[in-house]
Amino acid sequence: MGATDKWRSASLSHPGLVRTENQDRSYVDDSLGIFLVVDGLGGHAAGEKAAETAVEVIRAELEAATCDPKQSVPSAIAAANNRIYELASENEDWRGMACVLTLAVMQGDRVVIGHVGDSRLYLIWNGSIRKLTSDHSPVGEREDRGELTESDAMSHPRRHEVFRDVGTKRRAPDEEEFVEMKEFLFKPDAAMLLCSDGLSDLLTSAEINEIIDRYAGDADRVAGDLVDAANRAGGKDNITVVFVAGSEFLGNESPQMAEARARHAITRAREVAVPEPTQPSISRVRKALTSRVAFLIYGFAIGVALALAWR
Amino acid sequence: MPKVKGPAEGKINGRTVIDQLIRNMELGQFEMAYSTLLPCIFSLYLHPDDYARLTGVFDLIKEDAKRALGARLEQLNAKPMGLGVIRAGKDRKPYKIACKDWAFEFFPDSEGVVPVGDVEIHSELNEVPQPGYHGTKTTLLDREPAVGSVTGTRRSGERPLAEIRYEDDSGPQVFHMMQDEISIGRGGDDVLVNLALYTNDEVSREHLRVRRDAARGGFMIVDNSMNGTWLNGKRLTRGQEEKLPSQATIGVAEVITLHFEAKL
Repeated sequence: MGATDKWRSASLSHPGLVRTENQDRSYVDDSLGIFLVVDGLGGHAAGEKAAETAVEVIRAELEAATCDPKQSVPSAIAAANNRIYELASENEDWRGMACVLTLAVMQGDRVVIGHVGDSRLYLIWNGSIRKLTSDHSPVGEREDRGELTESDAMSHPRRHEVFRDVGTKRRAPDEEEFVEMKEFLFKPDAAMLLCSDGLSDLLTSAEINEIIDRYAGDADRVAGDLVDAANRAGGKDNITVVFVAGSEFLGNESPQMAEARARHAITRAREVAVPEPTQPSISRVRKALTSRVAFLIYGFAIGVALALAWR
Repeated sequence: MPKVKGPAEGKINGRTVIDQLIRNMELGQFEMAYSTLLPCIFSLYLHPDDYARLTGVFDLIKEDAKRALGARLEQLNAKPMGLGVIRAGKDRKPYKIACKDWAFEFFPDSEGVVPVGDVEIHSELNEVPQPGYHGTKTTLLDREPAVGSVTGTRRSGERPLAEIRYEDDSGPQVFHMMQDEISIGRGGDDVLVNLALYTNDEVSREHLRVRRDAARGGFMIVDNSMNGTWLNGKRLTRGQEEKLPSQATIGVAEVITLHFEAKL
């Protein structure tokens, strides 16, 4: 598990239960705030080669980058694309190889996303999960337009088709219909999940949310639980997850949240001591102590104290 | 952990359950400015053996519990007789429940914390579904968390009723309204909204609702917030339902603008 003062991260990749090779790759650099999930496409070793090349090139490009991630992200992805394309044209075994990927780079309190294909980035906050990336696939597009339900899309026979990838033709960073760029505010009490379709084809967003809801500080455990759940649901494809939890993120089902949940009155027939039913939650107490009014009162109190001391 | 008394004599029965419900209801009261709210949604956890033994009579217990809690509520609201002291100029706060009726749900305790003969009761003040205790979802309204851009709990083959475009701290989003009624807000650990905005706390947990008015063939909007909702620039009166035109801009606490478009 990686950690900085702003987040905790974990990544895990598993071949699943059906495929023998794992063509997925992930890459995390906590010091630079780089999170990447890559899903290789192509027969035999080609898919793996494509995914590996993407990680290598993107890593090198971003480590060397001095500019804004809004520029460095698409140019790193384009560089990976062109490298994969060159390798595929030079070597018969690698012909037609490509990959899809989702890349997230921290920039202060914001996250810049560069995305191609049908891997996903989810944002989890306040009990709800949101998919921030579009799926560049016929099925995914129809799902995003509301024409297919999530479960229809998950079981759709054409769900593996993508119409954008990294590697099948030469590309420029700013080309239309190539890298989808997004940006969002990473709140300290939010979390994000990058995953390959081996996860999102088998677990609904609600199921993913339910697992993340149990997060209580152990990011590795969430990553492990997500992969286990996808395998229990069939493990039809390689499964890769990168989970990043903000420093103040806590799952709704975590013991800490259960303790802080104040509006419940919990009673037990045989207990002597009953938890105080109207006890305010920790966060409410904290909120009350740090509210604007509280600070006005603090200021007033200090003023009065100083005035008294001067007299 | 609070100390637990040694097991009482005998098995658990309906009487114990109802007594405990009354006790929980009284402990869970929540005093407000003009009234006192009592919990009305109860989740009851029993040891799996007790759960299996009582399964057949849950409905009967629920019936009795409704009556008992209703009677207790009436008793609490009854004017004090004779010796009752009433402070001059101050009305007593009436006791109320925030839902239409009492609701009870029994669950087998899956975590081994409730011994045989015991009952653990969790109560809520209103019909907001709680992320379940002990791994059991107690979503009484059967709502599911929404997914930002895709969203919606719906059956397949249905077209969206409306589309809502907006931009919050997660960027531009499109929400497809699939149900007849949706709630919109910031959400929270105890408030699940259909359209969950990623924003600051000027937006209420449940800020507003939009519903399809099947009878009149349009949509209705109601503001439930602290900081207000604006419909095409005009502020809505809180709690008062108004007609929502088929194309409209909805201001949410002057923080987010929703672009609503009916697709019917």
